[in-house]
Amino acid sequence: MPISGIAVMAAEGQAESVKQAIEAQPGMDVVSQVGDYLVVVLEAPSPAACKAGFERILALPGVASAEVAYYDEQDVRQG
Amino acid sequence: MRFTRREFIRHLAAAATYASLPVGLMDCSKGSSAFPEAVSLDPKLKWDKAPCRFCGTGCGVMVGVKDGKVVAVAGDQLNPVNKGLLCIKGYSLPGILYGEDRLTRPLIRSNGALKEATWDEALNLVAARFKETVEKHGPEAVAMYGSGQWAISDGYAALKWFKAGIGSNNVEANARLCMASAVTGFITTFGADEPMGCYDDFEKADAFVLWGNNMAEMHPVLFSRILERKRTASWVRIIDLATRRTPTTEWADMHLSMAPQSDLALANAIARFIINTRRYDRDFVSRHVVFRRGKENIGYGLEDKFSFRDQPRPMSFDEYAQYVQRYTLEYAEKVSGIPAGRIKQLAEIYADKFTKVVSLWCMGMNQHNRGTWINNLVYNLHLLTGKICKPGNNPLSLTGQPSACGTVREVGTLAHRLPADMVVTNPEHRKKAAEIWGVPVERINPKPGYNTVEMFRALDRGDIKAIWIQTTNPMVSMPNLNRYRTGAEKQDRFVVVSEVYPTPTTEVADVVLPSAMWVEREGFFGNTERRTQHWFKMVEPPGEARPDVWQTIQVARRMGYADLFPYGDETYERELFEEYRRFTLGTGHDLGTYEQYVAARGLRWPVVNGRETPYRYTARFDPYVSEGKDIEFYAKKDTGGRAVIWARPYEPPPEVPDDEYPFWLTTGRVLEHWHTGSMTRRIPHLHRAVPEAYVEIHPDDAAELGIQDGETVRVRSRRGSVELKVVLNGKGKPRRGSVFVPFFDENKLINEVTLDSYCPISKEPDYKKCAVKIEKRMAS
Repeated sequence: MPISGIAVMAAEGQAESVKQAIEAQPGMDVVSQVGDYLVVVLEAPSPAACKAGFERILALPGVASAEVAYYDEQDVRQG
Repeated sequence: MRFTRREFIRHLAAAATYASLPVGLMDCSKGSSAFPEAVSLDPKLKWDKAPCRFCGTGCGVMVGVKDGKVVAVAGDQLNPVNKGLLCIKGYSLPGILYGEDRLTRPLIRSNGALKEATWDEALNLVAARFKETVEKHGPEAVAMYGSGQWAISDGYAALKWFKAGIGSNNVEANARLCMASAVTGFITTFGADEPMGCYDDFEKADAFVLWGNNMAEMHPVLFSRILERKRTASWVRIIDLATRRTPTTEWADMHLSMAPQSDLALANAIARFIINTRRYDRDFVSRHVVFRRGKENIGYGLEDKFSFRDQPRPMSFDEYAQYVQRYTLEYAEKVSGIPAGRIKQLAEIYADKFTKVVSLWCMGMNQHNRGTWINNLVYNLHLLTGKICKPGNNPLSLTGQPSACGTVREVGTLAHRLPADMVVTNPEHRKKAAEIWGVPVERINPKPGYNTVEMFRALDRGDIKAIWIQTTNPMVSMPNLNRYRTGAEKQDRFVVVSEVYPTPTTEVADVVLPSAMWVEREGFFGNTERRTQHWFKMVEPPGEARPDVWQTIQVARRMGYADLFPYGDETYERELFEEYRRFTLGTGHDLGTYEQYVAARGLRWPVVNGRETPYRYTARFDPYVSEGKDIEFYAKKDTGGRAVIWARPYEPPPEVPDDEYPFWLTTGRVLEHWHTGSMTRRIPHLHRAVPEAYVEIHPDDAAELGIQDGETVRVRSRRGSVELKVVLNGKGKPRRGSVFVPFFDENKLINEVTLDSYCPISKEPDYKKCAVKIEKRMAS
């Protein structure tokens, strides 16, 4: 189950709406906010689903940019 | 506290992402005067910040001073450029100040020999000769040749003296030899000089395409940021498009070995691919771009007084699309030698909507007889795809010198320029300059002066009779060197050189003035990403050495221009900066206040209301973008704020290998030495690492010529020759049919061999392509 860390930059004044939109997506958590930047952790069932999740973030209204800062696709089911 | 593996990975993801956020985006009104705690336990060691003296990266350095001497350096952890990292040259900085033969007293040549003199004697002589020359032969007969290693005040004082005082535009700098094509590329495409992106892009891109750029050696700290990005994001790719294998190649995911000059065809082929596969950004192109076509077959600047003026005409998108159709992948393969399938892989990287691309280049594209064109063509790729003005998606022209941007390009120490991108040919610009300088507008000459190559040709002919050279070494760095050295040595020429060490340039001087350097004086530099950085004077210069700016002011006053230089002896650095700043305000080149630069680890202009601008032309970051617009190239007024996609063809270079001279010669640099080596060759460990220049030859070519590794051969062109030791398996490996020679060694003057062709638009010479032969040494 891949896990990504994604840095999202919201357009000016839209960080809150972007945050809410991201948190409404499955597998995504906004774990921190620095001004208009949001630190997002995305978990998905597969690499393809992770990529699709990233592309959904890019397509959200108010997202100025997003980039993947961390990616791990090792099996993390064993706790 | 126990974590599951899943929780641990989630925490790692969050921490890594947090750490990737851009640290440079700061509100500098708060200031940043805190220094990191010094590791040293020595209470006598005082630390202060400065930018590195060497390349255009602009690394932050903490300088440790004890008992009046620089004894240590450390990377400045608070500086967002390098975050505490330095390269080998950066760590060697203290050594550049303390070479044994440091110049400490003015010298005047008498009966062929340089003899010590007082400052008054030397300055009076320089002033008298310049004044006499202007009176007898006119302002066009004098010249100032400076440097991208000038501090901002050095360049500004020289500019003001010449353009507001003497009324001459013969002010040039060695950045003409390294960055001029980048300048004309920016201005013809965007209407303004310097990048729209910044170093923050290194942590954001998915692909880095290096166009003829050995970044691992030439900008190692920035390359380390790319490698770190790649380490943390496994899909990131580095593409090395080059005419030789270098240390950069060893880190690349894809190395594309291209024939010299074929970058013109390759870039056009990629543009064609983007259009034909319908991956151009229609919305971006329709809103932000216009198309233009310039003149073709524009010459190579080989003739004295060569002149060129482009005549752009508009095109439609369809006409442009038709224009690039001949640049098929197969045609590009034929020109470049790169298989069509590999070119297509490179084209896919640009075309793929979701791949963020940073294109990087330096001398491979700028020191090019079509340098402006190739800069335009790489911008075309970013403009067609809309991969521009967005974090992680930008072209980035890397700079060679610490202040080629901050001094030469921004202050305008070029034959046609004034500060803040203004030009002498524009009456409004001259009016503004005259107002700030307090001179009649008629004092500012509307006719551009000589560009660098033409300046030294004019010196050779005698049209220039007096020249002052500061902080650069043209008697090593000028192409086709024999002609220009002979010219400088002719009778009835008066050559003044301000330097820190004896060099081949001081050997031709009539007067040598000892210069203070780096932290021996206060100053400002401006780096590649528009970051202006300040440092205070930390140690006294040796002997009677004084800063270049002080020398210029003294001569200007003695020539009768004291009213232009009313500054205090202890305050001129600050006063000059604040005066120069007035040119920038309200232009999109705005500089911050003196106090802001003292406090901060540099600021990226425009600095407006205390905020720096990491990304230009985009509303999110740039206060100059008009209300209601998302992206606006606001400096491009003639197109209504749209950038220009230029139709530029492939044209061959002026001299290509033939039966008599069957090899390409490329020149360049090495990690260990800075430019002409006048500083780094005096640092023992750097000198021992690379003690002399050499010639890299492909092993198969060497075998055919019967040449062994370590053998001495003569590299000969139509212009001159030099003996060099052969290196067959060194750091760099040229293609078959090519050789490479670094230019740092004043005892092996490879520029006696190179050709002084230049880009007709930028006037920047091409040091990367001429034809040579390799001669074995005959047995005695």
